[in-house]
Amino acid sequence: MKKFLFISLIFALLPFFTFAQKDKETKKRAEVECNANEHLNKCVESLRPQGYRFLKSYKLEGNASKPLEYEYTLSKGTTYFISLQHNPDVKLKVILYNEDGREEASNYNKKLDKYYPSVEIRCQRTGVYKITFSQESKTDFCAASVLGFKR
Amino acid sequence: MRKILATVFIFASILFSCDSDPDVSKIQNDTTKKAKSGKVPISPQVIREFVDRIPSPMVISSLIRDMGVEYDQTLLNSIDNESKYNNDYRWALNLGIYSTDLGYANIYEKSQDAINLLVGVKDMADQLKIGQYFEFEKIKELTKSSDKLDELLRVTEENLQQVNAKLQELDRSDMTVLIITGGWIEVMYLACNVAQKKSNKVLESTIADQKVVLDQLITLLNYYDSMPKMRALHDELVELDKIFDKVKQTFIKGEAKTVEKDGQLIIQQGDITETEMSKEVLDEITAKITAIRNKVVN
Repeated sequence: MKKFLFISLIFALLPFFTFAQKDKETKKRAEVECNANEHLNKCVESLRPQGYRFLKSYKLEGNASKPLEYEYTLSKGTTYFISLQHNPDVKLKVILYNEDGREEASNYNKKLDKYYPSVEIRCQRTGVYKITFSQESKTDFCAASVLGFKR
Repeated sequence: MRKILATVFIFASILFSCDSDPDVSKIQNDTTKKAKSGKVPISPQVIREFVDRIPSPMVISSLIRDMGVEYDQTLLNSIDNESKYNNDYRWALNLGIYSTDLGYANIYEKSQDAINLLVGVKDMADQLKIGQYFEFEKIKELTKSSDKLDELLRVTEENLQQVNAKLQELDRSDMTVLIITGGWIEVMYLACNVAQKKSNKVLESTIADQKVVLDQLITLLNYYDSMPKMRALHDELVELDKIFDKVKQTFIKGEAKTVEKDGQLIIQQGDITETEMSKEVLDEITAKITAIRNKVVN
């Protein structure tokens, strides 16, 4: 009877351990597949050589079916720098909109159909700007961006 | 025997249900959470969006240093004032104030002052029971190295995000609002006092443009108008805003210019705002922000 009880207990708990292990493996795989922190470190490292100072970071992860949106107050007379890091096969686009909803800047040059890894914006109007990140392929985001500044 | 077996299976089932979807309980917790008595419910999403868009005080601190103005320790909030703070309201505001001072000291590479101010930040955070979300030892080490300012700023930003998330989880978003308001009050106090000592058009224009931030803070504080201290602070900032209304702003519409230089995309904004602020208005702003700040620190 004790044996039976013991076996029953093992059978009852087995799926739990299997599930936990599976969950752990999934999380680990996700970490291996997308390491936004690594992208973020590269973004931060790109600031100093160009004379910019760190302001804000954006980890871009998750569903890419719609753009990720953020807002930030930019100050007149300040030069801002948006640096992007992502996997090589991804075309990541950042667009900066002013308070009127007009596109002010982007790392994508429509005329040349070219994506740049960063964009510098010389701000002449203080206000709340919207920053959106989107990518052509609808695979999950796995990227990072950093906003830097210099006077 | 059947009872024992049933117990085993029930136990196993409970374990599953706990582990299966932790987000569900979190979402349920969030959506059912109500503001504590006397507080206006405010969506964590709204708070997060407001907090995200408030500019870092570092931009103005950098401008002050780039003007060639000498570091002025007397402008900072003394650590000796710490003992005067005895409630959440003052701890949160002064956490913001010490944080701005810490950034200012770091920009000038005054590591000893920075470490002292870090103690102030830590003490305020500990009082608010959020000290565990600041990596003080790491920040302290980074403060000692002048070439690690960006890393320091990044760690601080991450820590603040954790703090804000925790405060929202605890239904204390009012503390988040006070922390950022304190930070802004202090950088305005620094900027105005520097502008009084050394006239500089760029700095004056930057001060005048702070109305954009002030308006956001007023909107945020307005959510907590049932809390007397928050209401009083809100009203003080509204008075300050009325002085800002005397600043003249001209908007000139223009087309943005895009150039590529050394493989780098550079965009020169087309729209320009020109600001005109008289010395009298600057004096009024300085007097008001100093009065507000002194009430907070003394």
